[in-house]
Amino acid sequence: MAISLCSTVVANTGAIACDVAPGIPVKMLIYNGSKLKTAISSSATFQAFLETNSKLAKTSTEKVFVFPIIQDVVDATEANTTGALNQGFTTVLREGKPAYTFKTFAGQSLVPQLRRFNNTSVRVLMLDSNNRVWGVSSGTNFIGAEAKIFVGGLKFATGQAVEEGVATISLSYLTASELNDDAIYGEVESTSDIIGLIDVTLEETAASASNVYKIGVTIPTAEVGGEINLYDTYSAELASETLWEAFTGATYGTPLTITSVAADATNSGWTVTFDSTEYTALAAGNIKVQLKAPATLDAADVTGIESGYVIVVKA
Amino acid sequence: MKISGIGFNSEWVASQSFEDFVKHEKHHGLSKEQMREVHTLCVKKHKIEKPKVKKVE
Repeated sequence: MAISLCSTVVANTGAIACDVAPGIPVKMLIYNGSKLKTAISSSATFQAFLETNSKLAKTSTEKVFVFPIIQDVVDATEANTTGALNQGFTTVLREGKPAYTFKTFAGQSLVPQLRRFNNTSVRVLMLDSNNRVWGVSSGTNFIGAEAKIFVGGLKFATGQAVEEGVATISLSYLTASELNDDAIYGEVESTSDIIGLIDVTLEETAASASNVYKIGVTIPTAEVGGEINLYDTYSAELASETLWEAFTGATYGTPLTITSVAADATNSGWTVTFDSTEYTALAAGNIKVQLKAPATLDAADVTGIESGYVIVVKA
Repeated sequence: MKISGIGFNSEWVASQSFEDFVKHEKHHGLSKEQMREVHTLCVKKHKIEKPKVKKVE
């Protein structure tokens, strides 16, 4: 009987029927969190997890950031390093780490947002052409595969190829083993509600009158002086005090009661009224005003945005 | 609670006397009848039996 370590280091080699393999990359998702596999073990719960987490605030460790649809895929994986002996033997000395170059459509307002991820170590999920989202098994958890990405800037088109509005994304995985040995997937029915959010800016649109402030909500664009005013889309929906919040104090930890919010057609914004008793009791200083968390806004049909804040001054 | 396109903090409204509520929110330009409707609905929603009484000056 041969003395062997095989039983301690190898696995059986039978294949299961209808086994699956990764398809063509469709969307890259950045997810630096960790989810119990048992909590997302059905297609419905897995889909709900991605939908919910794509609408978290970007400060959440469980946030899923959604990149644009991939339109071009090039495998840029480093070749395995091989070694040889002079009697003809060759072997793989070091496995190449997976890498890809993607092209996506993106405008000048979006590309700088994507480039904020450049050269940071992130964990990546990949939606493929079979509606499977691939991640990594880590004990009892589903996580992303560790990688670095680099998003190039937009260039002037030459008119010789599909170049206008095409951004190049380089994805480089930090280890081969996560993808090659630990890859697992969940299935989704639809990706329409797994969305990237847009950052919106708040500002005062007119002078305040005592406890009554005029606030606008806009999205900056790449055009000089250009912005998208959310009043045009959400004037009625955002006329709700349940979607706004205000804070005072050195670290803005003290809520200030908002008594009403009304659409302000004159200034294409909203009239936000604070409780006059609380307001009067405040010392002169700053008040932080913002919309509520993206998930709260989404539930009120104000979709696809995450609020910044404006600091208004009580004289 | 949204009335006439204005989102009112119903819990705060219910905690105010009608007179204080009108004085606080008069800048919206609603009629007294509309303000009465808002106040009544908010008080009913939060089942406040005795709203704050307006101080006599």
